[in-house]
Amino acid sequence: MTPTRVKVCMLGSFAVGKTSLVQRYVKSLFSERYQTTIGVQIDKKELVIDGRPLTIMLWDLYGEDEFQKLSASFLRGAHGAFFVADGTRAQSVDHALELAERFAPDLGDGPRILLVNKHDLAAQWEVRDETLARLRAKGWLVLCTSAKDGENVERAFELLARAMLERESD
Amino acid sequence: MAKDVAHELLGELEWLVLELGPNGVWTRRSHAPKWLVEHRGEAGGPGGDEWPPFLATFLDEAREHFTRGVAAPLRSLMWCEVTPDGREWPLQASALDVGGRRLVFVEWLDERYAELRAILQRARQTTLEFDSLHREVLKKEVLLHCIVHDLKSPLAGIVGSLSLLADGEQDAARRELVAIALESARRQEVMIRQVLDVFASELSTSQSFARDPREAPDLVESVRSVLQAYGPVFQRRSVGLTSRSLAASRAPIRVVGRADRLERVLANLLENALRHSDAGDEVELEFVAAAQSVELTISDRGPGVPETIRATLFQKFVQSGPSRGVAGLGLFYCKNTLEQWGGAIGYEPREPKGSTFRVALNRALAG
Repeated sequence: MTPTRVKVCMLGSFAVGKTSLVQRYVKSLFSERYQTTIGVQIDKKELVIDGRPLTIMLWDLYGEDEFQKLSASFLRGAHGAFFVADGTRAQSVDHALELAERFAPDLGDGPRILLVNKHDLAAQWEVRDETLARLRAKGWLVLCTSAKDGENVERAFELLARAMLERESD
Repeated sequence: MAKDVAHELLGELEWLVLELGPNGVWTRRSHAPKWLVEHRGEAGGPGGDEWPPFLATFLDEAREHFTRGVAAPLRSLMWCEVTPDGREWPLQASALDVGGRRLVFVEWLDERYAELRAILQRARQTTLEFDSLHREVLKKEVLLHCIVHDLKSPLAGIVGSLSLLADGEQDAARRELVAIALESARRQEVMIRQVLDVFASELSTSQSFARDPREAPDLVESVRSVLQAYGPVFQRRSVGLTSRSLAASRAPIRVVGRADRLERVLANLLENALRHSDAGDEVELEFVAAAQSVELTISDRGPGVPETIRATLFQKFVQSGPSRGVAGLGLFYCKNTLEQWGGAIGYEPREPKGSTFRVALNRALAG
């Protein structure tokens, strides 16, 4: 069976852990060293969901800040997206939501998940449980992840993959 | 010959050149650079899905660009191909029409990318470190605020008890001791209030004051209120407190700010003037309104600010003259608060002696 090929974009502020999440998922690797992404880095992950082969092309986009603004052209043809925030920087959640709103027309109705990363640093978290509850109530699928210890990383990608396959089947 | 040189040169630079044919197919016009060979093998068939994903997306954009007939070249953002050996190939593509030939060049950026990454890395790391330090300072300030606030509560009890003692019957020696204790407790109250005021002003946001004349404070009212509150204190010390401007004021003067903080600024300046005045001196508070701004002055006949500390007068913990139990935060609070509102404060000596503090406030104007 020919695998279904999907494009997934990782979006969020700089240093929230987008690249680390991809590296953890694709290569089971984690590095404490922060290395900024310029432009886009594309990785591939092949998996099977309920007997259906799937190739995920992961577009790890640079973190947006005053130095680099994101361009909608990167999102062309995306089937789904992760909006990534850093739980130790409350502002990064606001920024992830702002990106979700700004790029909503480019992403269409593809599934999206908000990943609040760095859960291994829970003691330093600024993002409050009530904030996450409020976002869930608004319809966001929110997962607290840790690229460092792998918490919820596989689950996040699987959930998104299933949602994309379901959408393809519709 | 020239064509061969160009071909070799592009190969050496690890550049890729593609041409869009009339049939809508992309054909390679250069050597296959190493990053592409790794991606799809030396033989490499024609474009389509076999191009690396980012390039495939850009080629679609380039196709549209050529269809629209835009003269200016189309340039992609940078991207990075990672070959199976883990090597990163930073690339950037440009689409341009060269004498009717629709070409896409893919440059290998190498050192330029490394330089840019190093600069961005440093900038972002600095931002992260700054944010982290800022959060740490904020946490400590909040903790300190809590401690100072807790110190204030028992002090109110001490002042109250001493006041009752001072009112009761007792011999002269005891009365003097109670008066000293009461005076010390009140000074401490002032110091704590100043510390809390500074916390409040530093943590406040730009939204916490009014620009709209319907909500902005009335300077005339604030001056009246502060003069009423401080009149008896000045009287006890036999220091005069006058304001010809207030007596002449007939209409409100709305200024950008917040009433309680404006009154605190005025109070700090009056307390300051009183502290440096002797019995028989006079402190004057005057103000003049212009179309866009208001200038307010508070002048005393005290010893003036020594020249050595004038440059740092409005910084934290700077005290002019003997400290007399003050925290050195009053003028800092005034400057910090006024500047948040777009105003200013300055000092100038008076002849033959004395000080004038000059405050500039913006008028709150409709529209």
